[in-house]
Amino acid sequence: MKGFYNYLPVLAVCFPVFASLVVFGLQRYSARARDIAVLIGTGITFALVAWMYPYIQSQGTIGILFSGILPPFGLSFSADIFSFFLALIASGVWLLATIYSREYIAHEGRQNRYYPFLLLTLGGCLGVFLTGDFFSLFIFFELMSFAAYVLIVHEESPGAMAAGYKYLILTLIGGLALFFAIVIAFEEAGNVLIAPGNFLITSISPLALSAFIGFLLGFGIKMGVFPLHIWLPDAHPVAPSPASALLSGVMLKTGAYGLIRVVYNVYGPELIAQAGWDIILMVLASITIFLGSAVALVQTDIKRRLAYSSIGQMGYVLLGISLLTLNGLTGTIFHILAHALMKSALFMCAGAIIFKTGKREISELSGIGYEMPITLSVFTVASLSMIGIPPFNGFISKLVLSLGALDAGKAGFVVLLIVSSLLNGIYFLPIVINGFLGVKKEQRIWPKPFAELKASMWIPLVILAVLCGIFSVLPVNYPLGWAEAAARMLTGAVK
Amino acid sequence: MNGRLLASALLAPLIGALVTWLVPARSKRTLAWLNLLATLISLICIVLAHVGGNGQQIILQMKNAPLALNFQLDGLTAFFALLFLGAWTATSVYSFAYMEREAANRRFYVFLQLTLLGCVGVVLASDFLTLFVFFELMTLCSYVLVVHEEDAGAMEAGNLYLALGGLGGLALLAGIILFYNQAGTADFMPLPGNVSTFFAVAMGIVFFLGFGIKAGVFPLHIWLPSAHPMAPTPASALLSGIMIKTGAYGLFRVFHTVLQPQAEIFGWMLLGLGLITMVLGAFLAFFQDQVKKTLAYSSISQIGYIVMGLGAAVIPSGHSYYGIAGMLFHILNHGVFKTTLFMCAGAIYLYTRNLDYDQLGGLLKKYPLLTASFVISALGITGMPGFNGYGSKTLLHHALSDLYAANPTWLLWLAEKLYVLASALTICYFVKLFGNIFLGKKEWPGLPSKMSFSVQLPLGLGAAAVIGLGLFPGHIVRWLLIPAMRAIGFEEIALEHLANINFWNGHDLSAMAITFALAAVILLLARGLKLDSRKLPQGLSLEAIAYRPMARGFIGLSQATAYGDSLAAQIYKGFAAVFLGLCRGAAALDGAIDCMYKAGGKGLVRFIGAGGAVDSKINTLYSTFGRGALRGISAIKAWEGNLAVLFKKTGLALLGGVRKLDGVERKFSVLGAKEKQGKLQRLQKAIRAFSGRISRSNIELLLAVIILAVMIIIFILYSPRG
Repeated sequence: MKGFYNYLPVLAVCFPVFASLVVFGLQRYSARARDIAVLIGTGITFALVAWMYPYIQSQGTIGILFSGILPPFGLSFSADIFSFFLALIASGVWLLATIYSREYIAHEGRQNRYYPFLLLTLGGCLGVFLTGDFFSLFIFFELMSFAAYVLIVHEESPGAMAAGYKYLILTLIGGLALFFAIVIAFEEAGNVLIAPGNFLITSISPLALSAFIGFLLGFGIKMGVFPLHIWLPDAHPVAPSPASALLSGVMLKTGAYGLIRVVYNVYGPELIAQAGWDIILMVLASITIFLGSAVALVQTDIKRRLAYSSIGQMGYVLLGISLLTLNGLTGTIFHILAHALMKSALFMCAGAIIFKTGKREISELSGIGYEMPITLSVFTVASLSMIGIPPFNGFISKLVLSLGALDAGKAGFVVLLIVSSLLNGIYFLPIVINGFLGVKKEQRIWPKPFAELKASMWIPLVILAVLCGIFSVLPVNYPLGWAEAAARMLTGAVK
Repeated sequence: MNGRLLASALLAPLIGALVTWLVPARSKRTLAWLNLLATLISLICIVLAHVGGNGQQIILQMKNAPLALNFQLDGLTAFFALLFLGAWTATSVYSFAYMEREAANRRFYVFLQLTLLGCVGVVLASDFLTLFVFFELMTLCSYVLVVHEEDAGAMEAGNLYLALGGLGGLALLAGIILFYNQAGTADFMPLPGNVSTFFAVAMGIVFFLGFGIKAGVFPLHIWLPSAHPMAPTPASALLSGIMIKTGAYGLFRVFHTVLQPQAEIFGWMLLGLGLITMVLGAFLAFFQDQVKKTLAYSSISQIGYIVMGLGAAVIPSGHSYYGIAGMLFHILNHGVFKTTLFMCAGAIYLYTRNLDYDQLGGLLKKYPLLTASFVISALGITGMPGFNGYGSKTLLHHALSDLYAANPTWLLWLAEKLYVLASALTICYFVKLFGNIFLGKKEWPGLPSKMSFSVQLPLGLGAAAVIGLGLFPGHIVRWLLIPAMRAIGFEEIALEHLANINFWNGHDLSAMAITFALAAVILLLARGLKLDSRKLPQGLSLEAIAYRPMARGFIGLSQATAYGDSLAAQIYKGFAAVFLGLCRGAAALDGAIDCMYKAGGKGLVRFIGAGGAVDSKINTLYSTFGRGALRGISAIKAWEGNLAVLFKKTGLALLGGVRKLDGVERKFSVLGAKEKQGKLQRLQKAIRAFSGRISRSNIELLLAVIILAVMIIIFILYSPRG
């Protein structure tokens, strides 16, 4: 445990937490200093995460255990390629959302509360990814969940309060279920370390099943898996748009991360397959995929539609986990990235439209493309990626997931993915089409033309849109390579 | 070098689209020039690459790319690419005049070039993944061309187009994924023999959905007659003349190359569907009353010929070279005459602003060049010897009659008759079309008498091509078709046989004569029964019978799911209510316990009150005792004061006594013995007197000393030891 690099995960997790305190103190003196501090804090966090990359390449796993804190388990931090990948996504999207927030939250108000909690949530989120055992993970999971509550109820409208309350209750249930499961795992194995080959539960027993259900509840609620998704379509739309982008784009992934760790580090794919619990996951995934996409179709509020679409997309992720094949897992991990990029782009675009026009009903948005061409172009790119049109990321993940399904001998899921893609097309393309086409200049409903967004808002959007498509055009698809390396590490497959 | 030319051919439309999008010029002509320039560059690059490479295969691969795009240029792909680019160049010239009167030219040209890139990319791709990338590009970009007018009709047609296009794209993707999974590669190659029939058939069906929708094969054609006429004419011409061929090309790659093991099943399927498509398309075309709609249905019918040819070639028992050659030749011919016919229709619309049968007529004298071009193309499509359709229809007819010779079943006999019927119907609807547009006595006073040059040039070129291809079918077969077929691995014997076909023989010519005679009979019958002015009932269309209910069912399913989801939310609420009820019960219980506590508390308070009363009594008792004690103590104190006085008095008396004794002793010591004795006697007297005084006056003192001594003794005896 020598070498400075082992402290990088700790620094990456703790830095935003301390930065939130600094921001909290700083805001008394100057709003400008606060905004800059938030930006710098998030930027440094991103840099710290990115800094880990060469060491992870050379060492495999880096990290450190503080056995003195919270004995007898200790607080441990570690990062392997999988954690690193997700932490990089989280901090990167966070940085873009923070840049976007400046203008947006200035309009909403209450920045003094928003920014510290934004940083605190980032700390919790990175903590989930960068901890080395389940107890530490649990601590940061709860930190993230409760800090996010403040972001959700930001507007303090009755709707927001009600949604926040629902979120809070389900988060509590999830946290307790998770804790219960971790305790069982600890009882079985004597430790709760997340390490390759260190399977905490090695035999099928009622206790193991109840732990599995506990994990599923705990992470499934966060992930929005059917039937635990009910908080999601309420909570995501009421949050301010940058927070919605992070809730949908990043925080859902903590659940997926946890579930992948559970399947591949707590039980091991062999045990899961032997016990037949992958069937539970598959059934839930199928229902989630279809339900999310189908229900999104009948929503009329743009952010609600996006939230239901997130449920469907998390169904893809769960499907990839349940397949227990290398391609399936690669597809899942890559889809986590793809969905993080495209869904945060979509939420921020929707937010930009609401910010400029105050309208959220999809039927009221015809002709918006003439007024906000950049925003709607980004929306178009992200939508095409959601549908799975090449060369965007969504296509790659759908392709790899389908191959994973076929590797598992389950061709039916290919049909499911196709049907879901069709549904994605049916509910995304009308927004794009009505925004750009079908409304003549003289019939536009916007009486006065208004200016496109300020640069600080559209630049993050454009970056996200470019990231949605750039990887499959570049000579090497780095994220896909990392996703595959992570999947190989988790499954123990040799290259 | 040749690889670079191929890359430039693909990059030209992409860069052209970017430049057209970004160029600040607002003039429509500039945009049209940019479009033409990009298309021409692409065409020239392909020609140079193909001719410069002597028709050898050129491969262009993006190595190490995650979504590696791989291309090849050989006889077959060059055949398609040159056809596409040639037609595109002609329509690009045509657009100069046509798009002058349309809005949103910049968008149109950007997406026209992107669609070109998609179409050319589809045929130049050397594996399915590359093909898919360009296929999707083509579908999405051509959508923008379809809805160009942006009115309600265009949007509706566009929605149908996009829905089916999207469905087709996804079905294609599913097929590719299945193929990739089974074959381990996405290249165009036969499926391994060990693949189960189930997988192969499933793959065939999804591939057929994917490419068949784009091609417009029955029963997947329903988007075509609504979408093609909606686009601006240059786009309609390309959609109908060129873009549907990408579907045919895909069907060819799948059913000829990939699914060879299942050729028997799919060959018959394609043959049957092709025949249905060609008869149905021709039949429906006859009943249309709008020029572009007629042409769109005609395209469906002609795609039927192409698919029928493919089917006949795929069925193992026939001579596949007739079918493939006929199919390729017909793709070429249809590309030429349908593009020209659409451009004729566009020219009519450009000047008369009308395309309905009952509004048109009498244009023969007004525009002789237009009429000539139309008539020549129409003769081409009907298969009149000397025009291009004759060659391909003859080859297809050969393919069918060869198949019948190999399998003499009544179904194939019927197929041959249906083929003739479809050809005759084609003649019928073109006679009707010609009559409605060009004949009649309608006057057009306000029309300009001369057409613009950019309209005349492509129309003239198209007509010339129809005649050129028609007069030298043998040369076309030798120069274009045989290299293409060599590229896909046909044996030299078959190709030699094909090269020696003589198109001008009595048998084939008489077959055409029979077709024309049948057409005349049908026309006379139709005129007699007044069928030609009838319209088909709307409710009978496939869209109304099958697609709309399916879509409605799909939406209904979504709504049902949404309902189910709200039900799930209700269940949660129910759980919450039950939970809340339990909580309320618990709260009630809690309240009861609270009450109990309260009651207990009150009782306790009362008890304590009672205790207090007792206590106060005890208190009084104590205080009584205390008061008594106090009184005792003060009595003792008083007594003690007396005692103190007593002690003082005693002490003083003792002190006085001691002083006296001291004085006596001093006096005594000074005296002699006698004196001492005298003195002693006197002392004795004094002591006697003192003791007498004590016994008299100080009895009290004695008593006190005794009591004190006793108390001290008692204290010493009973004090606790520790």
